[in-house]
Amino acid sequence: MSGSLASVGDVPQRWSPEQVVALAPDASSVAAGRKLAAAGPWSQTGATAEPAAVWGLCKGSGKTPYQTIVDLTGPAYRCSCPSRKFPCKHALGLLLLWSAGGVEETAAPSDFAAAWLDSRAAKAARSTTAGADGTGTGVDGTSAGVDGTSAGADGTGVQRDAERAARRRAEQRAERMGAGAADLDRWLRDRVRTGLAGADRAGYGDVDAVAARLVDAQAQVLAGGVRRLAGVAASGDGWPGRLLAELALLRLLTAAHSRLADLPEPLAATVRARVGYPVRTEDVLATPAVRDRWNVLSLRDSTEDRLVVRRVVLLGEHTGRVAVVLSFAPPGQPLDASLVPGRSLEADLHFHPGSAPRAVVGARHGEPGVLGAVAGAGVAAALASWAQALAADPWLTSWPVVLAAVVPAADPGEDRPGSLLDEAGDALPLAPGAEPWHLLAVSGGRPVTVVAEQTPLGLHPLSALTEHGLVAL
Amino acid sequence: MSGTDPAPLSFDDLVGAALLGTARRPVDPAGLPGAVGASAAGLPGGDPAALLLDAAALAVVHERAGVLPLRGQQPAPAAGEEAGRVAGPAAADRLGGLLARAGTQDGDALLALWLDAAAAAGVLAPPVLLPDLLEVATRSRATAARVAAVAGERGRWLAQWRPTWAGALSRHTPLGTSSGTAAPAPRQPGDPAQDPAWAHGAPAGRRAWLAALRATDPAAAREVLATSWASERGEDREALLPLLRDGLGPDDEPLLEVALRDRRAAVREVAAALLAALPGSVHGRRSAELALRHVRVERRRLRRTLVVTLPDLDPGEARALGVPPAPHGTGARQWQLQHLVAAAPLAVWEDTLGGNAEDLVALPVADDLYAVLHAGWAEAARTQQDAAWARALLAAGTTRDLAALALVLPPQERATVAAAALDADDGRDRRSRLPPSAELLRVLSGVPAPWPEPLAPSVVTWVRRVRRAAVWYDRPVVHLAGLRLPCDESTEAALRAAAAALPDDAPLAPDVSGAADTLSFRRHMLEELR
Repeated sequence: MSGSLASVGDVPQRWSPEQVVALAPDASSVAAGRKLAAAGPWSQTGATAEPAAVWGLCKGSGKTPYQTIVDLTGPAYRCSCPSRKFPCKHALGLLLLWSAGGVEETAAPSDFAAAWLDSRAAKAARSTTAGADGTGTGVDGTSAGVDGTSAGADGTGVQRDAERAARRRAEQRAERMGAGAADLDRWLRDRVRTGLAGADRAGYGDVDAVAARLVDAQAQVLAGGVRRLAGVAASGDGWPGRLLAELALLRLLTAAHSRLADLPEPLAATVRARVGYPVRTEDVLATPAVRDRWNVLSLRDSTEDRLVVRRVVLLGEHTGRVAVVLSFAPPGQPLDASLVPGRSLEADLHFHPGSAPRAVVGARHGEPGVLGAVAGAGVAAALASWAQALAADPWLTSWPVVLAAVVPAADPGEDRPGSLLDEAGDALPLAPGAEPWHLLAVSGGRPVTVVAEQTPLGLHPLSALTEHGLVAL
Repeated sequence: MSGTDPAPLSFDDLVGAALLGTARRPVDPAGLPGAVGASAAGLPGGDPAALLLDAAALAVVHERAGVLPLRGQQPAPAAGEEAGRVAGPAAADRLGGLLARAGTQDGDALLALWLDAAAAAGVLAPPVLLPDLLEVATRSRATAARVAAVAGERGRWLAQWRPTWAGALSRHTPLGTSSGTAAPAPRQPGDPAQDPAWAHGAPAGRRAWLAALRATDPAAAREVLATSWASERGEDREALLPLLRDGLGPDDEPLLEVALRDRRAAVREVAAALLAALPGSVHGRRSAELALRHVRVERRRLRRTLVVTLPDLDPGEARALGVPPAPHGTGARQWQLQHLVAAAPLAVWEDTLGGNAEDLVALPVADDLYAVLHAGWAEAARTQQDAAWARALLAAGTTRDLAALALVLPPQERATVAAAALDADDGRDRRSRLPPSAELLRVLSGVPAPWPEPLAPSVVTWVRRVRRAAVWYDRPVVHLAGLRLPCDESTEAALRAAAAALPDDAPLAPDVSGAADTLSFRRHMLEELR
């Protein structure tokens, strides 16, 4: 059953199990999906290349089996089960089964699948004629839909009107943000003029009022920075130094914003991004492409402001550049799963102006391949790249580094590894919150290549290249 | 105002000024050292607050960008070469998923299965999962033993870094040095009773110490316990005495005889049970002598019949024989007889009354006293581990405790008993205080995985028969089936068909499909470990 290989012909390119797993909204869904990745519960399964889809009936606890359909182009899912997870375990199980070769190729979709797939095809056709481009969807969430997606009908007059309206909106926005930043600047200077003493006990109540005014001025990113101050003030011993550092960096931003017109371009873009000007994916894609074979070194999801953020770290094999591709989704919704750690892809990357290392994937050249050579650097070189990145963007708080041949190490007399030591005898400390055990386990005390994020407090290891391949930590 | 002080400033001085407020203490950041001071000198004056903030920003970014490598760090000593085979990616993935669910009942049961299967296949856990595995190992002894079997060289090396991990693994000797259970601290050549772990240890530690000693040197353990017996507290006597079951022998009899007259009832019961399990003990002979006075064979209407009279021991006598007080609602004399029979060696009946276990169990018992007699025999079969008697009693179907008797039999026979118990459950009596499934579960729990032949079809037909009548008590039976039935495709298919045949609202339906899922999970797990 599971041993039979589907005929090759025009079978849709089957995904690897890693690719399927990357779609899952959480670990329990993966586990549940794996349970269902057996022929047992499934009937009437099938797959077609055109439309690229997989479907099947899954026997659940009820009498009628669930109808599960996956449109591989989206990917998009439909399942008659009541789960609110997305994709549900049935969709994951079906994809895993398909990935393992357990779904036979058929000429056309089953009736139950055909109806939904047709309606999707019709909808897609409608939206293409309406002129929306699908390139950026899901890959770069903040930019999508923030500005200007409504534009784009055929008539040039209409287009010009729309452009003018967009420009007017952008100007109004810049004005409001300028006012918000100036307001924040005054507030910051007031804090330091009257003194920070007592900020740890006062609960920093006026922070919320200031943040609310910034939200009104559409400067959500600044507002977030101001709200974090309350936590810094309440962070225990040594808080005055940390609070002053945060206030100083915010003041640096407001001061830079007040001189935005005078700043040279990459720096001005950095300031705009840090203040929270929306960046359109089109604009990022319009920057020069950096084509390379990009090795996917780490994928990590976290939840920020009720959004799941996926950070994928890439390293260019020939350029040696690091890049971070972000995608966003509400909890339970699928994230971009096209970048699989431990694989590589030949593609054009477009870097956000002034926001290194953030990038967007543009044109892809061919199918993803195996991981290529990963050239790490020593500690000194990694620190040089961090210094260079800070020189361009002083607000930077994390920077991906790839350290070659490092060993977990400890202070003499310390019984817990707290740093990574390279062959030259240079070491970098791990950040206080980073636990060393997984890295220690995979290294076995022998040199490994480590992918990590350098932060002002130290390293956060993300993954390691060992004799067993790339391992997420 | 002291702004003209030429002493070099530090970031802390900026912090001090910010705390007080620049209205009270302005600073001139040009006094900051090095490049920061030089840059700060060029900052626009005017607002002292802005000046301080701008200088602080310079200092902060300067410090962040100027971080230097640490020197003199000691590299971790390298782990030894791994001799064993490490789990492949699919098996590693599955283990990772199981570890994510560890702590749930289902997750722990499956994790135990994975670890056992990996150990059987000679596969080691992948290094990246070792920290999570060691963490799980600290939670229970049974898990620690399983983790130790798949931790490999790397796992033992890693465990040394944390005392809790090292402690969890150290109780289990590494693979290859199969010297059995963990030894206590190295034995001194002198008197083991002087070992501080025993002489001054906490109760749990002393128990472990004595158990370990008993495993290696039963006589020494008995001597140690006998020496301190009189000075042990009641609860310690109760906790320590059962350890003698391991390696029980005729030499233990004197100590058990002492314990049989203990002040504490629980100690007397343990002693009586141990004495009953001890072949040829004085206690057994005495009990047999008394019991035989009350059971004889007569010929009634041409049939051999067992005639039973009830003893009437006075309390002192009963106590000397280790008969515990009769539970409420049980006749004292019936209770006494049952205990005398239980304590008597089973061979006595065969020799004295004539016939083997099967013949004797099949004999009719006068005055409906068979329940008392058979209960005594069942108890004896259990303590004396007598398979022939257990088999005969199970076949007669006159005793209630099937599970305990089945445990005396080899696994294949246990499965037959369990299958018969399943076949006998017609789905009724679900509202009674002790539903049949409670007994079923106990019988089935005694059959080790994988369940042999007659059980799979029995489980399937049982599921179909119980149908809507099933209550919550039946669910653990189905769960256990998922964990222990053979995980081949045909068993899974049979279970799925049974689930499909159940009505939608049958309480058991989700559990039966769940059990089928578990079978497929296990099959894939084994394939990955191959």
